[in-house]
Amino acid sequence: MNNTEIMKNVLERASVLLAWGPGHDALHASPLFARKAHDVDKVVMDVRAVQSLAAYLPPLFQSEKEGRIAVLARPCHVRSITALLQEELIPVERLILVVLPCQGKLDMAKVMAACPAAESLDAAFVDGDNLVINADGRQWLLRLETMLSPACVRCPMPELPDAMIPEGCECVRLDGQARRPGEGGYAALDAFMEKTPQERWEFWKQEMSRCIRCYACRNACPMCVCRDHCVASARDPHWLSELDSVTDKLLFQVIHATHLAGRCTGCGECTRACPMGIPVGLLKMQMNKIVEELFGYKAGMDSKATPPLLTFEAIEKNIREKGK
Amino acid sequence: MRIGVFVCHCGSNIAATVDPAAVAMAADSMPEVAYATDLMYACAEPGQKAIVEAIGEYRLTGVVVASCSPRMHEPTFRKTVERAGLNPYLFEMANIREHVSWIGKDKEANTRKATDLVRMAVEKLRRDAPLHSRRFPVTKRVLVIGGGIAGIQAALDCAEGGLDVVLVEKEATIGGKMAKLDKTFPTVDCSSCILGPKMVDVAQHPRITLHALSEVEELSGFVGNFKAKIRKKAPYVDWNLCTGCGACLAKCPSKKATDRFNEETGLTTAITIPFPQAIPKKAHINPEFCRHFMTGKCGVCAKICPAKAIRFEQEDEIVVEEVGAVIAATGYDLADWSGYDYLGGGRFPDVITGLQYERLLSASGPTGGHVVRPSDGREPKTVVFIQCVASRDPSKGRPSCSGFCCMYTAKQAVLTRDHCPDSKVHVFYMDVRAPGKMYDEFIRRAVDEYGVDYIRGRVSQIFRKGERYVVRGADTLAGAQVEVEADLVVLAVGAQAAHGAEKLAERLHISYDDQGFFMEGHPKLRPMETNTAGVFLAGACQGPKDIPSSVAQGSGAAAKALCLFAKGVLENDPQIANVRPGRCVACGKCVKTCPFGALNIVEARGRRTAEVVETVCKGCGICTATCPQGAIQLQHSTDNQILAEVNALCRF
Repeated sequence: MNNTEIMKNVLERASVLLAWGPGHDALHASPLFARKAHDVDKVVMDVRAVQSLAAYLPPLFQSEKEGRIAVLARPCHVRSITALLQEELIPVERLILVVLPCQGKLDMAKVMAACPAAESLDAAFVDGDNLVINADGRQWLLRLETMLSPACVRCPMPELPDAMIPEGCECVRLDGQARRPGEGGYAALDAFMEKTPQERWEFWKQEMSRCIRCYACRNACPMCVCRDHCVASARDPHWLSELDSVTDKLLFQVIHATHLAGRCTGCGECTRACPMGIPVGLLKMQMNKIVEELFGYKAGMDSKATPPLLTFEAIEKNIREKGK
Repeated sequence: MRIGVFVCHCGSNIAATVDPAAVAMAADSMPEVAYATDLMYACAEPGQKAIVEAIGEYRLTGVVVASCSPRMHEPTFRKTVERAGLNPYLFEMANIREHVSWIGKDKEANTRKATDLVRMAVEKLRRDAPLHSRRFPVTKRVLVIGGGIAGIQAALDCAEGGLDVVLVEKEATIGGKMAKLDKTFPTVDCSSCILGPKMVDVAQHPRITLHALSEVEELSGFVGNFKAKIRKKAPYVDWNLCTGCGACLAKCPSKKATDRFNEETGLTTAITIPFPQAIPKKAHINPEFCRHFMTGKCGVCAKICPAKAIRFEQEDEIVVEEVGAVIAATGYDLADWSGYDYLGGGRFPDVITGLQYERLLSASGPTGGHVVRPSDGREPKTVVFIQCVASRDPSKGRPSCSGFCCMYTAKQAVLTRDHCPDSKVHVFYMDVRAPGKMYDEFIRRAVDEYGVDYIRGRVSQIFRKGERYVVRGADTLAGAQVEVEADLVVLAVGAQAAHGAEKLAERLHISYDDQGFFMEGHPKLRPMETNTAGVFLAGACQGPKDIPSSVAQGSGAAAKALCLFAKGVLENDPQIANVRPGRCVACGKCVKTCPFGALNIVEARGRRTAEVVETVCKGCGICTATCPQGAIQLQHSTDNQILAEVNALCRF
């Protein structure tokens, strides 16, 4: 069976397959809710398929009308799904994971910078190691390796290890070649933390001044599960004012990062979704590093693990509370 | 809201470094403040009267008192405003004493800070809602954990006061450390002679249920309605049949079992009764040494037992007891002194702890009360006592004084001279601390009548010299180094909380200090209470104590339990978590983090939502910090109240 046949076969057991389909132009792919077999023919799953579909799962599972839900996922997306399973926000028995060997996702900002004409392109496709863009009667050959999202370059896990398939979850693997693993770690963050606190504060003031409070970062985040009750738009509790101030904008980012402490899988969706190009993922990366140092825990790696901030321990091994 | 602000002088405690009149004047112009004034002593009767009168005269609907820490006087002022007809939770306190006047000298800056704190309190009060307590019935039974002298006293007093008592003891017998002592200071009367009758009273009291060889594994519920899960460890003997005749002890072929009761100064049999006056006087098997458990062959005790009580197949039993209050009386253990290399750290057989020496002095001990060296069984000619081992020693992380060691050392010195009249006795000491009734007189007797040689100074080293030991130390009064050749050295090792106390504290939801001692509610005014309602403390589990103090605290804790149950119903504190179902998405994070199990997910009006069990919630606020969408709010400390306080403080 080829991949399309595999997916069609999966759809026979599920009411919907979350996948990617054609977007507004040849360079972009959009989320596709495939319900009929012929929808599967439209699926796009190369480097252009950038969104994590995990964010759709918790609300979709709320619907009684849905049967089993199948979702196309890169290994990084599986971590988010595992984290949702850990928090019991989605039912494992109704989920079918369709995992693709990952070749990375494009960083659209890099593509646009390398090829400004891509705004009005005629065609875009992957040819071997290159992304080919036809626009303005010309052709651009962009080396794929240089066009990938920074998260993909670091990604230590483009192929999903068997051990990471969530317990009790039906998992179907698609055929294909994964890219070579990256080194992981926190190199980008460590470089940023070299700056003085004053420099970092100036950086964030500068970056957040561009924020338009669209909350795309929140809406793209698979772990943001408050649905219509986000504190960002609540009067009671009234954490954020409606002022167009950097402090309010940054406060939201800080709230987001703390709500993700021990839950963020580092998928990079928040940074990808930001229309203003603000690297908001950096704040969560710092939180992830703290959680890893303090609790030895990385979110979404083990469906049976207890997230360290979602439990109560009177004595934490690495927190000196009693001065001992 | 019509708010009244009352700024207290606290005599000169506040007024010396804060201008209360200026704070009151500034408060006058704060939002919704209808009346503001300063008072000499707000908590005194005239102060409270002034508040009550002002509420009537100015039709106040909320009150701020700017004075001291709310820990002491918040209940006072809540009652004051309640007397005047207000809901007691329409009251806020600004702490301008501990947080301002006592910690800064700049009067102008202090006055500004005090004004800021009052502004915060006013902003919080504006968002206060009237709260009402729920009433619930209580189970009039008490769980006493630990059967030492403090626990025994607490159990007997509770039982005499008409409460049913469940007494849980970790060891096979009650009696605790006092049962191991030979004599007691300052009267030098026989320890087991005065303790024994109390132990028998426990055994015979119809209201006391004793679980020996048992431990509390879990405490759930809340004040008035606790459930304690108790593990009764298998003694491998049916205690309903065992008569304590001791025939099994005499015939047991495994005679090299660790003797915990005798502080390992001797060996005992695998089946054993800790000491002749044990309560309950029942045999138990130590499976680590029992031949039947080790090799599967033996069973001599089962053959010999006239009551046919031996049960090798017995398993631990879990019992659940419902109680309304808990008294923790888990006592102390000697600190681990193995790190004291210069004292041998336990390598020298004739360098022993004070508690081991008690067993050598005791007629029920392994030597029948003859003072002999553990190494060769010879009577010592020179005995050296060293005080303050693992006490008053910040370099080893043990800075505190254990309190009772000076006295027991003097007692043991006197007893040594009694047992071996031709012996020489030396005591190395730092200071002698003898503040109790007849205590200092006792020390004088040891020196004057018994000729005990007190050397003021610390010991730097003990080393062997043939069969004897050289104790090298300083004599700081003579300004010289001294060396004493000793046959036996007794160390006054300091006390730390009993082994496992920290784990128990977590099960009881109470806190403990860095030595493992349980934290009292207030160091002076609430020595028996903890910060968990319905859990009280007795004896050395709260800090090192001698026998009279332990007995006093045991009785005190019993009085606290009796007071608690004097009313048939209790009221909860309404400052607890509250779910706003409209905002809750039933993600369950609160349920996972609640340390008290006070949250559940329930189905209400067709949708799932979190729900707080009001009587179980302690108002700790962990759920409110965890809930990402702010659907759980701590009543009286809501997010909006905290934000309003922050905004009041950080005005730009």
